[in-house]
Amino acid sequence: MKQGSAAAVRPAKRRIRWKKAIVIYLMLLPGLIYLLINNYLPMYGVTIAFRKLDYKKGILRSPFNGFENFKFLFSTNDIWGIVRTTVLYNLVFIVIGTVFPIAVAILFNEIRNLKAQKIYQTVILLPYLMSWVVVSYLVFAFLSADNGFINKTLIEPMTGNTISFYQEKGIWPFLLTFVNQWKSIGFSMVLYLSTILGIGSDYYEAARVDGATKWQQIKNITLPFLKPTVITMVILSVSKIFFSDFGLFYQVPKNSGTLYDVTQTIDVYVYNALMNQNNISMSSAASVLQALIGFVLVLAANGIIRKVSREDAIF
Amino acid sequence: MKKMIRNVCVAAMTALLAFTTLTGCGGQDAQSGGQNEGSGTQASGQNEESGAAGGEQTGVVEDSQTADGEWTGEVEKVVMTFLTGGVEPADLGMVQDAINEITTKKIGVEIEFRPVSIFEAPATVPMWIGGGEQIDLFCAAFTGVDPFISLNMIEPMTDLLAQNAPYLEEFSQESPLYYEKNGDVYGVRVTTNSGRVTGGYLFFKEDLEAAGFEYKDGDQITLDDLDVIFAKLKELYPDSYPAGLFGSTSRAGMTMVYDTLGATASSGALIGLDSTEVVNYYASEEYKSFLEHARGWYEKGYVLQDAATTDISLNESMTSGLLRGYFNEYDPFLRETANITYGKEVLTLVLVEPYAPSVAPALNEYWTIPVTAAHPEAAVRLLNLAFSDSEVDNLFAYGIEGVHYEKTGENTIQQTERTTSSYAIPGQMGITQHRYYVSVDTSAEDEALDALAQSRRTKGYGFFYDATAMTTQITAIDAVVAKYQAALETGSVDLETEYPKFLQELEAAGINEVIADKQAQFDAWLNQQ
Repeated sequence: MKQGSAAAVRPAKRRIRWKKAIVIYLMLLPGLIYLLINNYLPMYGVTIAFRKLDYKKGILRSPFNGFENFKFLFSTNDIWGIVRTTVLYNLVFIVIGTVFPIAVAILFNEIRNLKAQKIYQTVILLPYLMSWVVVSYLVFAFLSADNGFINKTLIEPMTGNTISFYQEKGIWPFLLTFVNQWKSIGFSMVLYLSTILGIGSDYYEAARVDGATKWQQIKNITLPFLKPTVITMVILSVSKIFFSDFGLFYQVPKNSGTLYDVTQTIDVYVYNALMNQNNISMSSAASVLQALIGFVLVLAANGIIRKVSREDAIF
Repeated sequence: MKKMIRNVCVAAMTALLAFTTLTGCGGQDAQSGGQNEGSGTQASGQNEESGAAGGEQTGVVEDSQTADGEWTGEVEKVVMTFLTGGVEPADLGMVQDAINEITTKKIGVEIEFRPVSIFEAPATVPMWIGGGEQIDLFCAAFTGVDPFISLNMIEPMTDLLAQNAPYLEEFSQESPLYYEKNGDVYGVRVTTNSGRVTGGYLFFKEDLEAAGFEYKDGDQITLDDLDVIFAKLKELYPDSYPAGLFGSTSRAGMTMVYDTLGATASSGALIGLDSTEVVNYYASEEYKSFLEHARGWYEKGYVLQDAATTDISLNESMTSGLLRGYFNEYDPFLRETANITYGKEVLTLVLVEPYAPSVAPALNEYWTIPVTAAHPEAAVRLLNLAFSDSEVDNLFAYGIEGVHYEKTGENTIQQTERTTSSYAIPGQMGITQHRYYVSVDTSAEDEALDALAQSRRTKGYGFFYDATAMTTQITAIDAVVAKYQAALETGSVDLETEYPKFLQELEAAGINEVIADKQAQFDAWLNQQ
């Protein structure tokens, strides 16, 4: 906006800018084409959710059947419990997944020894690179009732009994939150750390000259600079609030039926329900619904942020 | 000037994008269009001009074959799915070549295997078909044929079979072979036997002897007898688990006579041989009794504590002695296979004598012809040959003689080391009567069991339930079953609190509605009989 009005005042300069801009637009072109083909073209598949799929006729010629495919989602009362599970986990993940990585990133920034920094960074990032299947076996090695580390070294010697963790609902909300943080903290920390490293050292020098304590520096310099990153990250997370990490909720609890009340998120429910049915239309219906709600939530979250502080909103 | 540049820019971009978009679409359209045309002509050929086309086709078959059965017509390529256990067998190409040597000469068919893991096939193959790839024969395992019919993914085969498969047509008169729906054939059974179902428990003979039991293979026992045997075995081998309950595979069915009428237990079942009443399988006395036993075994430490979630391999656990037995069908073939696998003599005690339900779950696998088949006639010719020709049948089943097995008698073979490493597959095609026996010829035993099963048919024998109208409810019921079944059937959770919840949720998911629908269809069928 500002640039536009400035250019209107000085039309001579704008012409030159446009010539330069063409080159830049041309550079944009491949990416734009890729985006269109990769992200927008397949979207015609969204219509699968509203059709009775017929392989002979193909997707675009299959007959429409309204909201028939959405019915299975609402055929049990469970769905509200499942939605609640999904949303609550995500809310917890958003809060914890913001606070802890920032804290770690700030601490990390204070490490002066380069070698130590390298080692810590690798160690903390390593779980992020593991697949959920591997993680699920690591967790199993701790929790197994027959041979698990916790049962064999702690619980059995002390009480003489073992605990079947995979049949105990109570601990899983905490366990899954912990496992999720353990795995993802390295990556989110790097994101925040890169912002922190971008803050000019002159701010801190000035603050030190004025006698600011470490805590005052963090509160008044680091955190305000992190605000845009945090807002972007939160809005991105909000859009995914109806989605869940399938690996975390399916692999880590080993799909134990007893735990469904606390582990069954929308994705896991859809997977379990449609495993045997092989019904693409119904699966599409579920993800279309997730995406639509996510879209609405992003608009809402951004709307609220725009109301509160206009310059921090993404759009 | 400014405007012009912008306009040129916009125009150029639009043109480029339009071009790329169109080519993208064009490619796809051409593909699906071709596919549509192909299937369209096929369908019309079958439905409208079947008479005329039939005459022509049979003519072609006869013309292309000389008196001694040599094929003189064109050789057509048939792409068929090949179910693997997850790893593609190393010798697959070798077996394919050996089969082709015969089939190109006899029926003018060259096959190409498309290996796919048996666990992934129900999801992967529809994607191939949806993408328009040529698949001439698709083995529908686990899921049955109905989902593919309702998605219009497979073609009816009635006329193709009538024109190209004389042996199958004849065979189907005597023994159930086809999957029929709305008067059309949609699938040909992967293997045939009489469709007997049994239930039993497999032990190592030496274990039972060591524990002081004098059971013989095939002896009849009850669940209460198992209580006693398990107790003795646990005493003898305190570190082992005598009750082979683990994972999500349901074992309750091995302990009772029931018939799910060609669908799953989620839509109700007949319990017992004389019942014509569809009831809630999970609410039955028999099922409850199994759960009570399972819970008892778990509490006494006969069952792995991680049973509900573990993914141990059965063979490894049996070989290492972690498990001391498992629920298994009473079947000579399975017994002989186990003898070889474990290198110890096993015996199976019978919980349920052989009986014949609507369709045995193990037989609920069919060869189907997808809409993307390029040579459906050739595919049916191949099926016909695989069922009628012992050589081709055994090639599919055991691989190549001298490489994968050695003959030890007229009807018996010994598999070589190479089989386990390079061509280990379940019998995927053909007819058990033609097939060699591994190590011991059990044909007499098989016949006796078949005869017994045929004298014990359920009232639903020959009836198939069409679940299409109840898809939504069954999806919900399946979800409830997935939630409770593994935990309950391994005895891992408290029966008193969890079992009532299970039944309550099943009803909330609409199981009674589905049962009523199944009963109505079944009654209508009974009245026609």
